[in-house]
Amino acid sequence: MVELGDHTKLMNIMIGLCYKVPKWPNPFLQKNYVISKIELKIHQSNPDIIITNKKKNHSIIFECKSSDNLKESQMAKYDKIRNNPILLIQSGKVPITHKDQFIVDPVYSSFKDLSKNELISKYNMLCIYVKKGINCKIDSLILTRGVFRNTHVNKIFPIDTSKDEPPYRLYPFDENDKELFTIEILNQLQKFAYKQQSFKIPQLLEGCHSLWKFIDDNKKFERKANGILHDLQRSKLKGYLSQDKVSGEWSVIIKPNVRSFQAFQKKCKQVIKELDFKSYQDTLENQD
Amino acid sequence: MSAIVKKIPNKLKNRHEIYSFLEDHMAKTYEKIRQEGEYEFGKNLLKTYIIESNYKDPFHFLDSLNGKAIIKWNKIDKDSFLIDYKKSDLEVNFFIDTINPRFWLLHTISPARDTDTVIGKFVQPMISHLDHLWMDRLMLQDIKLEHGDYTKSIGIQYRYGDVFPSSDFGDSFSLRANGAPSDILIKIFSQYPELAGIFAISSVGFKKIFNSDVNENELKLLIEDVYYQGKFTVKGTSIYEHIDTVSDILRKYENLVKIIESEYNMEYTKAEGGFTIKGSPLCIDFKKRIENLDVFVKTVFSAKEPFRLSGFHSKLDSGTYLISCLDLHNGDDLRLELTEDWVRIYLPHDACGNTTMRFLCNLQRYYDANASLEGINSGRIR
Repeated sequence: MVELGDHTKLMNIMIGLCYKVPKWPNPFLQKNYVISKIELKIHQSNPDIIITNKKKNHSIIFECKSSDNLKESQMAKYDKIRNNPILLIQSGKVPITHKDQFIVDPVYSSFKDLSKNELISKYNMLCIYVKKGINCKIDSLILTRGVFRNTHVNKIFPIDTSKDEPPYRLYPFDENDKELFTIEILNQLQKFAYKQQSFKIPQLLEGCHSLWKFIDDNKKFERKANGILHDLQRSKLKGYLSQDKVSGEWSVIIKPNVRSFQAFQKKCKQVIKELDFKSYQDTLENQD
Repeated sequence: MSAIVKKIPNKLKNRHEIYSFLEDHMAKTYEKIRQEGEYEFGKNLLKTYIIESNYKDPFHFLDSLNGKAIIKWNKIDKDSFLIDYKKSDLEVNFFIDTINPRFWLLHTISPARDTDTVIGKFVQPMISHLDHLWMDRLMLQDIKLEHGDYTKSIGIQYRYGDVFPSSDFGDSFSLRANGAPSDILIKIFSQYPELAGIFAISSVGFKKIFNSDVNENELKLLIEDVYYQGKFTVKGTSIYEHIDTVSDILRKYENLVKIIESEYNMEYTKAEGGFTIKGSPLCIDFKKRIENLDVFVKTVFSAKEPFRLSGFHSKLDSGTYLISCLDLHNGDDLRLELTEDWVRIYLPHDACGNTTMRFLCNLQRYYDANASLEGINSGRIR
């Protein structure tokens, strides 16, 4: 069972609401919201997702919370942006048509209902409760606190998702989803071997994570990927994986026949199975 | 003693001469069948194979065969050539038409068993840059309806037991029917849910008459058998009508592949103030619920034939499987989400539309003949 982090799940769930995916609703897209940014680098806040309806001069900041450990400094920053949205425009993060009429609503989304949280109340934040049903399926999304100032948006709640399944490949993993990160790297290694191409880490990450190049703070992924590759080279994929000392390029050698790829796949499956995540995590954390 | 090898003569100098020769051959085989009920021994039917090519220049394909077989070739014009292929006791020749650089037509009158083998040798190897067509069940039914005045044959190959663990001989099923009852069989298979799930059509045969108001000796007609991997065998009176039929089927297939590539390949690009996602995931719906997802995943993504998908999977607490895999046919990398009832497919920006069609066809043939392909922009695609 993969331990896909709650943060990654929430990121996918919220991005999915703004995008065309079979078997998952897209009410924000239907209200003409498009994704402006993900994982922004803004001092003290670093919002996860910003979506914007350009015609309505309205942006929504989604903060995906995997725990109820909320930071006051972050919330204060969101409050500041809400009261003075020009800050978001000045940072070049959203495209709008009328800066004087621009409105920003920050929202906390979580698998817990945060509506009673003290800080949330103090700063009067909006909350979306992502309610799980049986078998960990997502049952519905409920706006448990606050109202959007583009009133059309309020009407989309509650969002019934009981018959749907969120897309989990739009934002495939964050830097802490070690298993999925490794799986994506292994799959890309197969691809580079198949195409008989050597690669550098940015190329690897472009294949691993579709949104990697749009993430403001994407260096953290590079560091983790570098750690994983060196670990694989030293241990489980010794003989397959090598790095050119001069250019720094990596290459994977697999003979171009099905049997050799099957052997490589077997080896990789062993990597996934035998991965000692505890020590692995330590290795990775040492890269930071 | 081996059968006489029939080939398109190398002395033919242009398309017109080659088509005349092939038409003459077609007409003779048809006449023999019409008069005697069977065709002459050693007199093979005209066959056309459609192959998808990723070669920028077809002559690179010829170069790739060096050392694997003895190849002699004649350039007929800038888009076509005749090749003789010889390896051990395999000896065949093809007229290859590359006027459509992505989808080549290979015409031959060599024995079907040998040409099937050689086509397999061209397409099957890893990094061959070639692929078959993958026409799904609905497409074959549509072809019969659009092109045929009469149904002549139907082939069904449902091969679950060849791939998935099974102790029951009934898990695979094949049938080949010739003649008028073919249409009745199609109705029966479609009506009964127990049969619909194994109704994986592998070929359709039809008769098409172009001038029904003349006497029998002057009839212009075609009798085509179309196989799901893009092979056509033909009897009849006009090579040009055959080529028109093949081209029409190919045009529809190519459109479908292009729709998949333009609307469903996913590309993330920078846009004003952020980024946009072009394309969206596709979904294959199953009518036959997957009872054991673990076995399904381990079977389909094991890198083995027929799927040849080398994948890694993980299971979420909701029971959904996440799979990342490489298609060993052409090196496309896919991301999928699999539940008991459907699989959602995320195609990279440069994926080949044929990859999706191959996956769908193989799922229909080896798991659920009723599996259907859907996209949010187009509704049901196949």
